[in-house]
Amino acid sequence: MVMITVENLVKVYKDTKALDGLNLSVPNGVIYGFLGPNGAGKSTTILSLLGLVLPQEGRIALFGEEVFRDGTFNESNLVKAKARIGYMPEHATLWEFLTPLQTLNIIGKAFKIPKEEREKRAEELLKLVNLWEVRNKKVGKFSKGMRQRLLLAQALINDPELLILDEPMTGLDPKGIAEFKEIIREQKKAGKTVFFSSHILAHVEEICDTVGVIVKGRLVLEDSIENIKREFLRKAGYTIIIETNRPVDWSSTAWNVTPLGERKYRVVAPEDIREELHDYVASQGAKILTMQVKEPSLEEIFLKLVE
Amino acid sequence: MRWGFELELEKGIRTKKIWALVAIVIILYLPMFYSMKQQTGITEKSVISLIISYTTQVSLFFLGIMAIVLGAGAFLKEMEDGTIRIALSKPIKRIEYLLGKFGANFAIFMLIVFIMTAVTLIGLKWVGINVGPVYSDVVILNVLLGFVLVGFITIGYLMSLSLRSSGTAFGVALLVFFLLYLVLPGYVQYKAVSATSYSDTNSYTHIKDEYYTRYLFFAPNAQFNVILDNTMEIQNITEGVYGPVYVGLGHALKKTVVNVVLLVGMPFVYLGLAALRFKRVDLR
Repeated sequence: MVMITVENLVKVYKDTKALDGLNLSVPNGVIYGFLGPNGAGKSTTILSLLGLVLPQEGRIALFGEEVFRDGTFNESNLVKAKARIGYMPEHATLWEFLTPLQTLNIIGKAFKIPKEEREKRAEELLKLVNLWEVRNKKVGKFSKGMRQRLLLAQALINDPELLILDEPMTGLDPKGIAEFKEIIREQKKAGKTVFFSSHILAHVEEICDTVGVIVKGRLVLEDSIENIKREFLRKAGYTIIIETNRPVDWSSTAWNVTPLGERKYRVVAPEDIREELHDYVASQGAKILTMQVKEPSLEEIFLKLVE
Repeated sequence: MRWGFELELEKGIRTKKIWALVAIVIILYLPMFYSMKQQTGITEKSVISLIISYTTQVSLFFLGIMAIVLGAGAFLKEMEDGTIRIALSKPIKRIEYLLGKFGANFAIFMLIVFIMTAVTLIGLKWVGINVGPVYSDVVILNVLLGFVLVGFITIGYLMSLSLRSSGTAFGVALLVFFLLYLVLPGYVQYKAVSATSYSDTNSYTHIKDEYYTRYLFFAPNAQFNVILDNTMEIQNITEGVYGPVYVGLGHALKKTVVNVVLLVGMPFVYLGLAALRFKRVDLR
């Protein structure tokens, strides 16, 4: 099943076009990384999915059910869909006068979870996000990191099929980030779908299966990380750094070779030429001592796309 | 709706500013009771007149400001904090959330009204007044005050859903309050004086009330004033001497049905407008 379908979505804020005919499709059971520079339309997309901003045109379907078409939300379908979604917003505080236990209790009530189950689930989640010790402390006294953990806990209270996370790791310390990633991976193992917006590419690269890149309100790329890298390498060329046991004459090759030292070279080719490289060096009576294929990071690809 | 109600009620009850202001208003009532205690032979009618003037001058002013400011921040503050995005990402309809919020604010202000009523009755008991004859008037007076406050809250909602920041909304709320409480009634009174003669109290009050009803139908405090004006009638006090006599709030309500309908009904008109706006506002 396709969990999220977005077709030709347009959202204009006064004179700014935040979404410019966005198309998006998120299948079941994946961790989908939604990437984009600041102001690209990531948060607007997420808020549109939840009915929190009203786009002007397009179509949104959640769990296969249409919730929005051409300027109107279908409220009853939207409410049904939201019952199956967990959402963690960016830059949000929770109600400062409540404790974590009270917060999860009141949010659990919104999903009509029975009292006993609510209490059990709240305890499990607060232990999961390491807030059980401070369960009776007011949220107003929490640090940014603690608030982020509670925001994640509230997003999981209804055991959602679809978890939507908007820049979720902002404000977390390295230990918190590691725990957070583990929780997200656990969600995937449990068969859940995670839609995860971020501008921290290392996080996306590490945990996401599929990546969508939004620039100026349009999806400019959507594929698995492996495919994206392969495609990027195909277009930008492979960079291989080798060290040989004796100098090599490169004049009879078409590859772009830059000497980095007496026996160290950077070779750029339009495709993977590792085998050919071995053969050529051997034909010159030399041997490759070290070989390093320089893969582009997602960050490089991303910057290239944004350019 | 119940969910939004519970959340807002909890928030309202935990808002210290509300209770601090209620405490200040109660403290300001103390001089009134003290002056009553100093007077010997004070009648129930003069007691209730004094309570009405205190209610319009003290309670309405302080609680009215609080109500409009509370309403002005109701949505904007939540948008700025992001709590509204969390709340409405749950399976809750926007209209349910708005009605829940309104219901909770209504309940909180009616609780304040109940406290004010109880304080007034306890104060009168302390003064040594027989509360039996004034009991119903005190209750009606405070319930009407409650509706004025609810009117101000809903006016505040409209600002909260039309402006961009809570700071601006608070400023505009105070400006609107002073317009509704001082400037517009002052202007209408000036027009009433121009149309009659200030020395002819009876016809001046009559014209002023008519103008208040016709031109200030949107101002809850103006309708409240018209109703309270009708608690007094010029009657023959002693032979040949005419003066204002307190005729009771029940009598005033019967004479000012239109104003009562405006006072009770306008908050729901404002609420309806707020609901229309809330349905389409971007919560980002």
